[in-house]
Amino acid sequence: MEEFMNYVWSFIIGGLLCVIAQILIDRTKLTPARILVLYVCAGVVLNAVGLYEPLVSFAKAGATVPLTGFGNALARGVRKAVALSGPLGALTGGLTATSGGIAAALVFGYLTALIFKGKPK
Amino acid sequence: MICALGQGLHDIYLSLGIHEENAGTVVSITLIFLAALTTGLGWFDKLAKYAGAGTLVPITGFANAVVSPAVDTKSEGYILGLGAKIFTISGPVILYGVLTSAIFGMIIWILSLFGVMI
Amino acid sequence: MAKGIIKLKNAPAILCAASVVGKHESDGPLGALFDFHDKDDRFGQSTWEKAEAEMQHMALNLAMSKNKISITDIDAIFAGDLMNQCISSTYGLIAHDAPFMGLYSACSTAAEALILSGMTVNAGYFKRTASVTSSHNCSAERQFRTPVEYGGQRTPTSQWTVTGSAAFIIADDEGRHPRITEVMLGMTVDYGITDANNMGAAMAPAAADTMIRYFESSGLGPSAFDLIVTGDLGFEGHSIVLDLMSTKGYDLSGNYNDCGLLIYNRSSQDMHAGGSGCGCSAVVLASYLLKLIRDGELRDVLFIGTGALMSPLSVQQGGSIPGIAHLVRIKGDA
Repeated sequence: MEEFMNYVWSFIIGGLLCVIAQILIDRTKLTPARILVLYVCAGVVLNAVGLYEPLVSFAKAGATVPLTGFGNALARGVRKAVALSGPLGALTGGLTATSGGIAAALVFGYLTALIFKGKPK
Repeated sequence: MICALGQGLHDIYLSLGIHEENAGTVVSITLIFLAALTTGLGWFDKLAKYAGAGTLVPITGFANAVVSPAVDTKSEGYILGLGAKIFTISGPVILYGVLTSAIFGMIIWILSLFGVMI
Repeated sequence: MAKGIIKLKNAPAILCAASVVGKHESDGPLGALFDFHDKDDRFGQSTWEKAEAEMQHMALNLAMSKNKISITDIDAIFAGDLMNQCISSTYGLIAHDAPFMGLYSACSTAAEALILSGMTVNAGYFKRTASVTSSHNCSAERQFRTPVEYGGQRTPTSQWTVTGSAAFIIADDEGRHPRITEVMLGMTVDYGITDANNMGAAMAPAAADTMIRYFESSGLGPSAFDLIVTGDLGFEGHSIVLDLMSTKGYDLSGNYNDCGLLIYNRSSQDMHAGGSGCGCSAVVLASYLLKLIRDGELRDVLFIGTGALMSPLSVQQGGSIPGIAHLVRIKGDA
């Protein structure tokens, strides 16, 4: 049952984060690129003030998969690295924690570009 | 929807014996792979037309932001085309994310000098 | 005089025209009228830019073949497109050995090319000229917006750049042809619109400005024409023009249309506010409107090419989007 509820909350919280972005697209002049930047920065700030980790333990992938989760991962990495190595950690922590995702996007992006040809809409 | 798919993948990876700490990263990588594949096949933008922010906000949106300029600018060469333009949309996301987190890191370090832990 | 109507006393003939389009355009309500369409929008080329150039090449060849004209019969080519430095026109028409002038007036380039053709043929400098314009959805998306595969959502006011190219042969010819009898040059109008996703609103004041200047200098009202048609204002711009004109006392509700609305079925094709681009007004005129004029269903038409004079750079720097509208009066030779 607990496992089932994980899916339900993932769906609801993840969906909610998407709905907020959709409202921003429809109701404001913010471009998708600006919204993505906003979400990542919001993730960092929400982690900083201690709100995001509780959301993750509650909504699981519903909180980690959206881009705010990327910001959360950056902040989480920085926390850990600063505790271990002081001010240097402020620079190394973020990218260390998110390197998997960024490298995957770059590698798959490159390979996709090698294999596929652009298609019209 | 994509988040629930992510949770499903998470549970599958856990049951396959991947450590809890790594499972999150593996889920991200899987979703990025799927987004890259659908972008290459030309399905992603058609899906996004209906799902809107539903595909933009999850990590799949980030992956599409990396993959789509790569596919698109291959015609201008692998170095100054694909190589330089791959960051045109995702660059700002990485920059401002890292910038904010670095500022956050400096703040917690300075606070820790005064014995404050947050 | 300079701001007024230029009467072309010799009424140069639109000898023939041809249109080449992509998949969405051939799926639209005018689909059957286009001379050629390519189902994957590539036109056998490796890049979108080369595809657009190939469309211009094909459009001019098709237009010339309709009247069995060869390139040696063409005294000058006026051509333009939306790409930086007009590469679609240059590369597309490089094989055509004729004097060439590259034009840029955003989406109003088709009207600008017709005006220059009409005036030079009327003056007797040239016997035959070609006016060629094009736009390609994918090359325009890449240059003006985001990568083609990017999954960002479009806003409802945004328009769909038409994949299409049309060529017109303008000539001093005795036969029965649609004729350019008057032209009027547009003036840049800037209402301070900065939203690049609402070009219809940026161009509509320019269209209204040209119409008002034309009606005032000619003494004619909207009802004197069978059709008044703007280039690519789309749904938003079309209704803004109706409003602007009615506040000035001109009722356009009966005979005013827009090529951006004619080219697609907006609801079933999900084209938001309608079509746009250099190719939009060009292919609609070349296929649909000229046919109606030749068939005698339309005798007197005001064709008003509309353009948004912006670049991605100017928009990013917060610049406004000035609009322009060039007018061509086309009469049937009945």
